Amino acid sequence: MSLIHVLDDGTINKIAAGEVVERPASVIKELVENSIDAGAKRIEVEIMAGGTSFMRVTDDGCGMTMEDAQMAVKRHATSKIREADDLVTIGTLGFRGEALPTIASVSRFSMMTRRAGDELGTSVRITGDGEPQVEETGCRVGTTIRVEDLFFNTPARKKFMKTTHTEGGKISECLTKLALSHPEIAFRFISNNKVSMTTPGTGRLEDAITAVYGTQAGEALLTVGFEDTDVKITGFLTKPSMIRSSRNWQTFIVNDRLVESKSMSKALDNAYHSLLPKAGYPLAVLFIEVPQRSVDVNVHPRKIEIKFEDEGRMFKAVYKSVLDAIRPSGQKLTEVAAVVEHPERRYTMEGMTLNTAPAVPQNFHEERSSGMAQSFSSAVASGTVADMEAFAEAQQLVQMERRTENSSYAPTEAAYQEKVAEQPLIDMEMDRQLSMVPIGQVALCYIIAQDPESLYIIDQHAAHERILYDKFSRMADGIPSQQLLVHPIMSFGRQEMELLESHQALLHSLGFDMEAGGPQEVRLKAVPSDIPDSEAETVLRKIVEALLSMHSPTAAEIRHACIATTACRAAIKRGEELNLRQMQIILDELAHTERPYTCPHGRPTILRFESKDLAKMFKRT
Amino acid sequence: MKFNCSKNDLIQALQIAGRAVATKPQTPILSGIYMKASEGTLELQATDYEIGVVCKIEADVEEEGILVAPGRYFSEVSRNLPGNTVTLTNDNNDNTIHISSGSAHFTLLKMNSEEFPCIRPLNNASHFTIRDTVLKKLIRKTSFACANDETRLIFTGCLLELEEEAVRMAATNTHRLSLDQEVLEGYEGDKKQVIIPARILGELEHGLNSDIPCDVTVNISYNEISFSFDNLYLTSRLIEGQFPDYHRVIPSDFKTRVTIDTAAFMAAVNRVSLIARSSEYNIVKLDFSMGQVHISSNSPEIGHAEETVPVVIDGPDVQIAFNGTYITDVLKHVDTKEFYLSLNESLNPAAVRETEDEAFIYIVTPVRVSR
Repeated sequence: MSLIHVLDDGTINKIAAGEVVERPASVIKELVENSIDAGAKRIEVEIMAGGTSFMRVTDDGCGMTMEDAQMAVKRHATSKIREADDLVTIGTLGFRGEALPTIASVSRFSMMTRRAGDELGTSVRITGDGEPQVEETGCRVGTTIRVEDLFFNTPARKKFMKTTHTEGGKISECLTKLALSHPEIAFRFISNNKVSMTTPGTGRLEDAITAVYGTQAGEALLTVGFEDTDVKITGFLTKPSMIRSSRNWQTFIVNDRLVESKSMSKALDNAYHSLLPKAGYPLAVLFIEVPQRSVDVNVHPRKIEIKFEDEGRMFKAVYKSVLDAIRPSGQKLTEVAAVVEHPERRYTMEGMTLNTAPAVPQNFHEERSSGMAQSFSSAVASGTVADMEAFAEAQQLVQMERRTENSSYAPTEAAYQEKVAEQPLIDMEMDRQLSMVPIGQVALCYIIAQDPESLYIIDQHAAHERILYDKFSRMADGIPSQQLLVHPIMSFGRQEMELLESHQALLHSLGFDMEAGGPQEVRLKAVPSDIPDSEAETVLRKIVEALLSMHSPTAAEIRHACIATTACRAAIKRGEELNLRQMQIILDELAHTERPYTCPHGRPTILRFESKDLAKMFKRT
Repeated sequence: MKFNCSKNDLIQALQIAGRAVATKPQTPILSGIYMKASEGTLELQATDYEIGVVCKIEADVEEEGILVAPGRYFSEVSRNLPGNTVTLTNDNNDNTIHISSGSAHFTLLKMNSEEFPCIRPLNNASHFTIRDTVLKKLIRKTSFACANDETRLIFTGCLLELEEEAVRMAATNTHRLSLDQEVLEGYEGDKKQVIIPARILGELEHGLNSDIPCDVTVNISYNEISFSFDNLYLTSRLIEGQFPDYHRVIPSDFKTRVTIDTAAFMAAVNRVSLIARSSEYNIVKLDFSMGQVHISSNSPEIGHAEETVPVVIDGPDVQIAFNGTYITDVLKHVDTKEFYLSLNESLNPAAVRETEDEAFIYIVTPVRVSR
């Protein structure tokens, strides 16, 4: 007898169950996704004992005929695709046709379904490997599926289930994300006879977020809106003041499909960089729309992983959209300023050339300087009085020439920086009347300010720290690089080496110079001047790490810790008395930082009490 | 034990020995100064296990003996004594040291002298003698180039290289290298390389200040070095490791050689650095053309500085930028009125040499400035 034989269907289903049905939460996910694909408007999920003993999913979707219901519980039976080509353009959540049969094979399964036009519904019952029992029955429009005693016939897997509390938590987490991904569907989640979550199903994401995460989160939302030729990102983030301890609060939805993506989480982290204390993640719900063809969802049976055609581009899109969202609306003002700065600059440059042109005509100048070199060297060599005079004269000329060279950029730049700094201020006050007016200082630490609508409390140290951090960050670009006489040799992995080679230009601009020093070894030839030699290697390794997660670090980022410390030291401290003028300056400058909400260490800088908050505190509502 | 000695002699000896007293002693005894009185001399010893100092002064010894006094208090007390001579007595049955001078009298608790790790002369070591002036010059011209950064130990020391007829010292912090060489007479032995911690060289340079020329005897064992001269004996651990091959760092030829007035150039660089120093990196740009060097620095926050110094340029014009500190550091140790600055391109290392001393060379790497 042959040793190798084909497995029977029951065994195949149980093996498949290992991939698709890992725990009660995965059952819920599959079933709810089916409901969503069925066009449900309301979905109700009920579980007992964390889903281990009982799960029910009821929807008001399209339902099935008896024939379809019988087919549905067969393996690889699906209404969602017909042929392999359809895989490229999958729009529905499910498509493999594996979920129902595999769930049914490891539980006591029952399904009741009726289409809107039919008089009677269909009931299908399956217990483990048993044959399906199909009969007609009376039921509501839509589909109800009950799954009882999950894994009753696969004790090995049953053993791996965690406590009912944990499994219940997983289901809740999974449903939360599903609810967020479909704000147009009203979800209702009942656990152990208690309603634990409902969403209104209004179609507005902010309503869903408020319903799921509470009003506090709902009020701290920042809108994300980003559109490119083929990528569209919408959704909400919370202000950095509202952070969570784990990434569970981050939901990524790509083309209506919930996904987990390390690179997107990383993009989020990077964008919030310097805004958050170390242990914390922002809350985020991001909808990402890309052409169906540019993603592959058929990577994993549970479809939580997704492959993008251009992972790096997605990373950048997410990063940019998040960054735009967490920058204050004041950003618009600098755009206004940018328009003003161009004519301003041209004007100054013309001014400078006008000043110098009459003094030294161009051609005359050249003649003089060619003859000058000789008189210089002879002056130094012989040292006679006449020659020295010639030298002095020539030197004056050269200096003048240089001065014009320098002045053409240095003072101009200073002048235009001033303009940039001043211009938005005026604009802001005139355009918006949004000026925050300081009222006074409390405990020599907090500035109290107001505008017509709100009261603000600002931590003077944190605010100044943020202002200085931004200023120092801007200075971090263009730091000269110091060459090394003795070249340290660093070894890297193969992948890291490739990254280093392909990012030579970036590293060069950050001040690192290197050349290959052997297989998987590089010889470090220059390091940025301000980084101590002993730390250069650590910094370089950090850059490589960042590159590995497809993020190109900027000069300011690699110095984040250092800049933050410098800013902290230089900032005004608690206990320093400020007058109103000084407070006004801090408020104005803070308004112009890129991310005013927190100090570089992640503590909040500013608290706002709107009039309605105040009213609430005084019990006026 | 009992002795009388001149207060000034004692203070001087304590000053030298005090430098080897451990500031953060691993064991309390290392914070003490060991004293041994015998036959007209008082010997003082201090060590922190890294370096050790033995210093001898004349004293009128009435009763011989050994004791260890708490270093810091003994030094401070001695320095502030009113009289010109100091009398120190110690009763062997007692735990106290009595110090009296003029009208003042102090009693200090002594430390257990048996615990003190006495410094013993190096045995079985190769040795040579060198004139103090020569040794001092070698140290002065190289040790400044060492690194301060403790993470890479070998660069915190100077390389000492011995050959027949020649002694060389080299130091680098990986950005610049200073190398000097002198003739060495009477050394017979293998070519030898050791790395001496900059700290002991500093102490040695300090100690080599007598007006009367003398010879310094240097002993080198596998992990220690000692210097003895006059009434002083200094010893230190050597730094283990392989010093990088400095020959490879020195460019074989240069396209441009500039002759510059040392004092004028140093003063100018110092002035221009006033602006550059505002940032952590002190970048000074040098533009050599038309018989002069244009020195400039620019700090976006502060302003701009420039100055020109006449020079003699042999070769093509060069523009180059350096960390200003690396330039002024070496110029402080250039002894000739003029010096040569040898250059290639703006991103190649440059060399500083004295006009009259072929042996000394200083290599410095430029910085790459964006824009």
